[in-house]
Amino acid sequence: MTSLLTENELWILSFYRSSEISGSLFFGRLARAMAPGPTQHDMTKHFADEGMHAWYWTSCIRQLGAEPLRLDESYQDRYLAAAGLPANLMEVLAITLTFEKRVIGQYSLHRHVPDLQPLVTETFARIMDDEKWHIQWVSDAIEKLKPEYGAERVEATLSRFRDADQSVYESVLNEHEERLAELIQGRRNRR
Amino acid sequence: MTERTSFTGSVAGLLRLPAGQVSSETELSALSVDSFALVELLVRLQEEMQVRVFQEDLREVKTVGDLERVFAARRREQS
Repeated sequence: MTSLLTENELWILSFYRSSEISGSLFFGRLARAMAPGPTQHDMTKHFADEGMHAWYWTSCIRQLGAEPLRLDESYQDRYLAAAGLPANLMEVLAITLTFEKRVIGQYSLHRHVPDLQPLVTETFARIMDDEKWHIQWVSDAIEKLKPEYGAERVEATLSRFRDADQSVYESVLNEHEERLAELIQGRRNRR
Repeated sequence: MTERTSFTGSVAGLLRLPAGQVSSETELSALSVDSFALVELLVRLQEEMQVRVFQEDLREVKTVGDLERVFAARRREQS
């Protein structure tokens, strides 16, 4: 079967797939480490969702006639390198919230690219519903931790991770923009 | 069992490493674990010891002994 994906589309979808796998592995480990309770419950669903998202992207790529690229680096790797290791549950949730917002932003940007393959659009729609819930539960969990960690410390942590997020995004933006631009142009050229 | 042995033993156990492979002098970078495993370790240690440590505490941490001192200091502060 001839691939219906351009080289850049394949790279980007494979990058999403790798990042979803990394997210699932990270949250799976945290779910294993955490004490039983509501946060562990939601974290368990979160890592299951991320695993499903990796499967959605894998299926999507294969149904479009390609094989996912094996990428060594995920967005999370760059994130941890820039933001530093989160040291406690509140910091983990803070970096997660920042990251999830970035994912929704990136997916929203991509899903509005004209003339996407319908299956890619469908895959974004399936994932975005989960991502909205991720932001909701993580925001709620952070709010509940404010009495334990202190509201000021929580806000300072969120602010620090937002700065790191901006720095990471800017560092990869050219790479992504270039690929997205080529992708848009490629689609238009096929018309 | 001393507190020191207990901490290094916990680190070894949580990382599923032989106890003899981890001492206070062991550098975290020598433990052959990835960053995800280190975060998992920190969360587990805090759950077990009922202590909260923070990102800024880790800036100067290089060895398991350094990490133990961070936990001890935070435990004194939070008890």
